Amino acid sequence: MTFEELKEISNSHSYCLFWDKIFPRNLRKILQGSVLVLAIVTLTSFISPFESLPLYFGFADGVFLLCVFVFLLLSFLEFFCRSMKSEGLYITTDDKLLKTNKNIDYALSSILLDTDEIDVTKAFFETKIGAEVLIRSGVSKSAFKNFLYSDRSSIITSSLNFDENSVDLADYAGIVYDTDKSFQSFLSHNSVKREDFISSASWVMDMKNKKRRKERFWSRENLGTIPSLGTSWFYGELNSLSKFGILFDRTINISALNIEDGYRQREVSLLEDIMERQEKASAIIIDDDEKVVRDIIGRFLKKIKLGIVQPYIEGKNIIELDWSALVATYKNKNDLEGEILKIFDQSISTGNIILYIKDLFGFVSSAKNSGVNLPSLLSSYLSSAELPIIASVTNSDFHFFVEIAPALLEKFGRIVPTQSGVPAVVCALLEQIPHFEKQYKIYFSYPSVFSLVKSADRYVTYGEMPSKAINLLSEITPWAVENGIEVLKESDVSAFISRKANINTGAIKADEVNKIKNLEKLLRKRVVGQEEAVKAVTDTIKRIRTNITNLNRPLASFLFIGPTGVGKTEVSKVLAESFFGDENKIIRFDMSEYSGPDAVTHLIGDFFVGKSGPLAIKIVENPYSVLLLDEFEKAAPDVLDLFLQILDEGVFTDALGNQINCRNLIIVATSNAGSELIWKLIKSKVDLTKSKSSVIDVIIKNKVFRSELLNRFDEIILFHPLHKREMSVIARFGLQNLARKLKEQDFELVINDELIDFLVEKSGNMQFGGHSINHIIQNEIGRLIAKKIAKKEVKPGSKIEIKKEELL
Amino acid sequence: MSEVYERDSFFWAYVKWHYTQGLRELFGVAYNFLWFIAHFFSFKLLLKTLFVPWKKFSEHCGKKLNPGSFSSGFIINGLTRTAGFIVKVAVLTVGFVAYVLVSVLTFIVFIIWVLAPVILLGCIVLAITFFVA
Repeated sequence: MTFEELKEISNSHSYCLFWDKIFPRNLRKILQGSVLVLAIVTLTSFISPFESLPLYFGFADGVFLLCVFVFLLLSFLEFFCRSMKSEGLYITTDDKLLKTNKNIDYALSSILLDTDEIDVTKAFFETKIGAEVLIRSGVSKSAFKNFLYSDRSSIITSSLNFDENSVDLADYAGIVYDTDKSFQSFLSHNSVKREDFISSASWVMDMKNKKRRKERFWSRENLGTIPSLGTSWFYGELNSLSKFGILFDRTINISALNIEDGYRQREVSLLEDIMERQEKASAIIIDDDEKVVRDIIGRFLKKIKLGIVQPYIEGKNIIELDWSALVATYKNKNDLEGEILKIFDQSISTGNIILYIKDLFGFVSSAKNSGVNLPSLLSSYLSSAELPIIASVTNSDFHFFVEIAPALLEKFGRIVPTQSGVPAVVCALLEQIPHFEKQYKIYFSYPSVFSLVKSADRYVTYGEMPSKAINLLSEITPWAVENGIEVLKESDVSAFISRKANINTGAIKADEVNKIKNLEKLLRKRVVGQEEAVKAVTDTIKRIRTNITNLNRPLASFLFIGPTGVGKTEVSKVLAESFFGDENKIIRFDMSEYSGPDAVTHLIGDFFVGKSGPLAIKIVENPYSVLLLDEFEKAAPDVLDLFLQILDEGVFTDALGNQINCRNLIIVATSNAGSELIWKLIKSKVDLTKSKSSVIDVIIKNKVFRSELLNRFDEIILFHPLHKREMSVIARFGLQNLARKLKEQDFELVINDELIDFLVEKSGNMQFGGHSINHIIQNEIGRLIAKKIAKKEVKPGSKIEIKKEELL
Repeated sequence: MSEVYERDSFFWAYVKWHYTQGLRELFGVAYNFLWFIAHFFSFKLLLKTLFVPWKKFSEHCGKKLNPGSFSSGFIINGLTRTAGFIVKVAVLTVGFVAYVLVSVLTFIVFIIWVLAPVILLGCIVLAITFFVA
């Protein structure tokens, strides 16, 4: 298809656009209103017998007729415009007024009308729609102006290549992007990717279409969402159902829900199928987030209101049962039981009620406290299709339900909403944006929304999508307003997340690049003689910061293998400090404590006790930290299997059914397995880096770890035993630390080679590495100094010198 | 449909629309409004429950037949049913009037629509006559 052909297809819109251009709509409205008023005034004069009226009789008649003429003419033209404007509008609701065979888009038509042959890009973005697409892409007006008047090669209409028969604004934006190379480099210079640009155009197009649909107040889509009068009158204000029941459409704005975009379509049609059943027509929605459940029911209700459901469900009303008020009002068992039965009976006799019970488990428990056995009360109603019920329950409560009332659950059709992926959540979030923009007078760019959703998915550990993203949106908006941001960009989202989670996200800034460069040096300073470990840690930090890591796994995972006291814990501390800003951000588990048959229960909690385990609790409390698993090889096989899942998926489920997010953790497992071989290799002076695979083979052969588990780690790092030279460095570090502490008490410790040599010699047994040196410093030297101070052999302000003889 | 208007001037495009698509849409809109009235006043539901007691108020007579409670139940039920009937008939009447009004209005607009050229021309000619006279 050529550009000219495309313009021809969109011709019907051109009449309306032309009319809007020469005679703006607001002006038309004002004129039409004034003409109507004038017509009424002159009509009064026309029928009035009093000659004292200010207008001359014949003149008034003339004005009246003229007004009628203008009013009718304007009205006819308005109808014509609106009819033309609706051409190509696609909705799935039953609307006989629209023909869906048209593949044209109004927003695009407005651009085509203003496009001349010479410079397509300029014409595109000089229109109102084009300018909005740019802002939504996150490009500033001034930057685009500079680009427009720079030395660039413009594209002509004949160079545009339309492959398909239907072209909308998003397609057109894609074609312009692909054709105009200088525009491409301009966008990439402004960090706008092709997908971002096209999605921005698509978003603008959707908003314009939504506005057009809203303007068509005469459509079934809009008329159908007005609550009907008769139904709300049908059940009275005094009966039990209306006393404890709220019409669901009063609790949620269903007109704001878009049922056309396919979001939650699977769940809604599943719900529809269950509601249509001839028996057991009740559904239970299992989700931790009440908002997700309400969203699904809201979309289902909208379909009912628009009359696009199966005939059996048509005309039904959803009423939410306020059971907390019910339980609070009737404390007595018999009263409560009687009232519950009354409500159910009234719902049945009304005939068109679907009862929604929020948090069914809460209702069952509260009723139980009053002595009412709700499952047995409910079961007879649930068996029939007379009273359709929708209930919601959280995942953990559902587990309890399976235990206490399995028969009750069988009567419900189960709906487990799928965890929304990033694209679906972006759709849901875009629905919310207009509301936030209106309230806070701020503009959102598409990349910022996309980044917001990605960040919510990645960094918000508590809750579920899309609520996590919506909560983040409601946090970032006031923050943006406070900081004077007019158009929210991707970089603003990164800045906000960094501030909120205290970790660095987004593009690597210059000072951070220097930080990473210096990281290797810093690590060498603190970790003695472990070149391979230092390199692996630095590489991991670089990889995470450049975001090429897999989002559905922990940030990084290491298995440190080597003898004790060689710096494994120190590397973990450096990791915590450099990545999470504090070396204490370490969750430490001694895995030798989890080697028994009930180790997993100890770690993730006990369902029967109703308590979560320390692993889940600590990770929820510190979602951004290093998880250090000491002596990993001593953990029970079940525990290793649990970590296999964590390393693979970045999540696990605790005993209460809560999903625990481990995707913001750096997992470090340490092990002494294979130490003997490492010793042997070192003694026979073999290069450890080259014999890594033979050490791993021995570990697998000895069935310490399974190969699947080892493969899940990002890096397996061998730590070699420390030599004398490295030991003396550690000894110096240890003594310097002690000297620093003594300095606070105004004593000066003299560190000499004699003392260091003594420490290295005394530690002798290198199997305990740095630990033995620290042990000697703490116990022997520390005790000696304490004695000296107690005996007043040294006074504040003086030097403490320790001789070799004193230590022997 | 609108392929017909391609390359037409604004005036001709309008004239063609007025007597084809415009006319069809006029009835489409009227049909939507009638559907809305039936839906808003819940015609179907109210007719189905015309004799059900108002706001579901009802008095049970008890298991044993007691002439006193039977008669009081009979009277109260009779009263609530009558009240329900009256209110529902009132609502139905308002709904029905609205339905008829929209139908009549549609017919009037249809006449104006069809006779638009005559009316417009008539208005302007008469207006000029009044001004000249």
